[in-house]
Amino acid sequence: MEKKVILTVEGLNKSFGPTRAVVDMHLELYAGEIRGLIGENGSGKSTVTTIIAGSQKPDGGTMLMEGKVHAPKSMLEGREAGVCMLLQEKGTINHLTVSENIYLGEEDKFSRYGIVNRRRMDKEAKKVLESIDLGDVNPARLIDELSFEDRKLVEAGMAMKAEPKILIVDETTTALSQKGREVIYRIMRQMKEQGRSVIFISHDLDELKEICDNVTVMRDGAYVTTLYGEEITVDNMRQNMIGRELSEGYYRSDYEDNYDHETVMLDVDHVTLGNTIRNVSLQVHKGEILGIGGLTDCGMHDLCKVIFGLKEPDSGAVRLPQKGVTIHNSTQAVENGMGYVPKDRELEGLMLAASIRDNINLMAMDKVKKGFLITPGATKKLALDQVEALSIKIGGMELPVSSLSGGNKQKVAIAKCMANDVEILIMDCPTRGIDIGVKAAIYRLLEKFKAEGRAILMVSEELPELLGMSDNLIIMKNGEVTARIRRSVDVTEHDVITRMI
Amino acid sequence: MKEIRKPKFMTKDRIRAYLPVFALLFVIALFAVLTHGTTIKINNLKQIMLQSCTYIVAGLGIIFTMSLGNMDMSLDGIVSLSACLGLLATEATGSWVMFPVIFLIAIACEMAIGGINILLGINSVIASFAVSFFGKGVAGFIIGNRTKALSLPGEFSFLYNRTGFYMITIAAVLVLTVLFHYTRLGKRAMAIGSNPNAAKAAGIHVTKYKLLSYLAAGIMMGLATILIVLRSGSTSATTGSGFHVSVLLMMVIGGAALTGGTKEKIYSVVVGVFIYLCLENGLTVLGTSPEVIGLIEGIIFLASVTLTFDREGVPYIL
Repeated sequence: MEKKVILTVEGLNKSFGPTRAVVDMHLELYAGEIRGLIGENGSGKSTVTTIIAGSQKPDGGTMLMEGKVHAPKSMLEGREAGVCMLLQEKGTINHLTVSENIYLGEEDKFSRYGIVNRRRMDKEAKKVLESIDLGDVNPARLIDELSFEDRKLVEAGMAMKAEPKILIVDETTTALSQKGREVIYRIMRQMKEQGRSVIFISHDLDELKEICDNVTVMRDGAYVTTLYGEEITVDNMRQNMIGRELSEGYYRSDYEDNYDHETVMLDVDHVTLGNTIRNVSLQVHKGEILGIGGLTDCGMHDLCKVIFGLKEPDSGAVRLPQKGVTIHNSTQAVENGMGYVPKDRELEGLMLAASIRDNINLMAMDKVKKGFLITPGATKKLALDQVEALSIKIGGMELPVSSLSGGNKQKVAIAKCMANDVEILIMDCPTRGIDIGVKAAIYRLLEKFKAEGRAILMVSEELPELLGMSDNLIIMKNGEVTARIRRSVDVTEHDVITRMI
Repeated sequence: MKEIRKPKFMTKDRIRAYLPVFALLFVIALFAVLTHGTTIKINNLKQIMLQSCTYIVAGLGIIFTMSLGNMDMSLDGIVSLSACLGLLATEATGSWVMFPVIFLIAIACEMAIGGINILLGINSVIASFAVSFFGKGVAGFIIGNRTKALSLPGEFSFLYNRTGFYMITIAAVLVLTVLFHYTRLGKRAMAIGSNPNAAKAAGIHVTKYKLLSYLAAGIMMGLATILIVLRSGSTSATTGSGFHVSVLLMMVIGGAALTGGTKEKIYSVVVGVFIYLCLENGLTVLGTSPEVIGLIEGIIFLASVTLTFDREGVPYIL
């Protein structure tokens, strides 16, 4: 069957500083197909699609759309050329009404003598809302009053209004409930029926299998393969994403019970925080990796903050039995040997514009100082030791952390804790947005820390790594612990997912 | 991934670090030539050195709050309030009580700014303006209701001498350099300025170190006020007026980053003060009108901010 090619991408390249996000990517998109685009975090999916949509410019490569050169300089130009994108993050503007958001930049259609006829705009907006099953929303309301899900759907409506030839859906569905997903699926199928195309980025392999006609796999910024029709199976996709057989030196290979059951390092005792954390208790032992998994909003990220003293729980307590202290704030946590690697490393973990040396020394000032002085020699030595121990790839100690790739940034965030020789390490999504090579390196570090007798609490949204690395696994749902699972060869992802959703 | 790269911000950092020093040498040389050596005569240099003392001491205080990322526009109000109340106290008691009073008022004002900023979550610039207006208002009210000038008693005038001023300034620079670059206080203040969330997540007690920074700023402002009072011998409703803008301008010319953070340097205060004073002095000797001097200063200010503004530290610039 000869299919009509709508978009051709050839030799696309894009680097961010030293990081090569996209390497010689090529892609052929057919008219009337739903194309899945998958790959590990940091494999370059989002970069490729944002280039197609026009919000970033490639370093090199050509794109042809229906035979014509496609080189949008902005998302607006991309939109005019017929490419619309639904983003992972929020794409609406607060403090404007729903209709103002929908018709942003197009007010001229409804204005006369420079005055916008709101009633007419609201009326048109209503039609857009109906197309996305939000007919009961008043377009004159402020967009802020809508739920996150509804705002995402409004964005979808905005994209559809432009009648794109190609719609890009970038992990939008992860944030949506089943109802919201159905609406997005319907929009995608509608596109397909009209002979238009969809590029669908998702991490949910089952979802991809169900929705997509074909799936293209990316790894480390490059094209790996495209799976057609019957070839799309969950196993096939995963293997192509990771690029080798699973469970082969990637995660931990041991299944022995090898931590110190007698020594409790961290004791979380019936902690409750509003509606986000309900009566959670857990213990982490010396040399144990305790994993916590669940959906993003299950309360596990806030739990990290409570444990580290960044948020005060409504009831319950966080204790360090070995030190005999109860944690109330982060200063105390650090003084007593705790370290925290936040989920959002750029906003919470690092001083981006500051040098690598300053970042690594951030937590360890008390350790570094001699008398009351902190000398440049001491800070440099500490930083060098950590750069070496964690094999961080840097161009120079005085360069800003912002010059590093995501994986090396994360290593700096970990180095910051290790510089202070922490005994209890709380890691929130330690491998988020990191390419596969550094990921493996971080797993090796975790094993090393475990062997050194440190206690590790690892929160993650990725089940394979939780199953692969944890001695014990706690699953949370709606702020409560729904399962406690021991490390075992027999545990499968399926067993766990049922406890999460 | 290449092992060794030479990214371009490396050179930019160097420019940031060394440009002010070159600028100072350039300004000195330029005016020495233009004025046929008048500006580098000993008497003129002494004049500049003496002028520089108050600015440097005040700048050393402001650099602490600036490193937090908190701009401080309160200097003129603090100077006028603490000078006024200090001299008033000395007048009433006939003793040396003005010295502690000036320090206490200056510290109280700075702590108030810090407190307002932390407790009420109000932008520090606004808080510092509020305190400044309050200070100027109170001082103006007190002085306006008097018939007699508020001046320094004769027995203290011996304290005004060049050597004393130089010693105090040099000591202040040394102590503050150590405090700022070689202790936790300065390093943590800069870390807070770089990223308060990361600082907190690294166990830094943000409130405590913010207040300590304001305390340091208060002490230095008290010292600056004392130098001003000793030098002028009296205080009026306009004492300190415009001082905050001059000091800020000097610091920025010297390469201080308005956004705070780990790249703040003490020497940018010292170098900046001298660049500014040499420039102003040189232009005055050349007979340039004050309006043109203002214009030139404005252009230099803009150029300095362009060079030193830390764009990587600020996600969005409109």
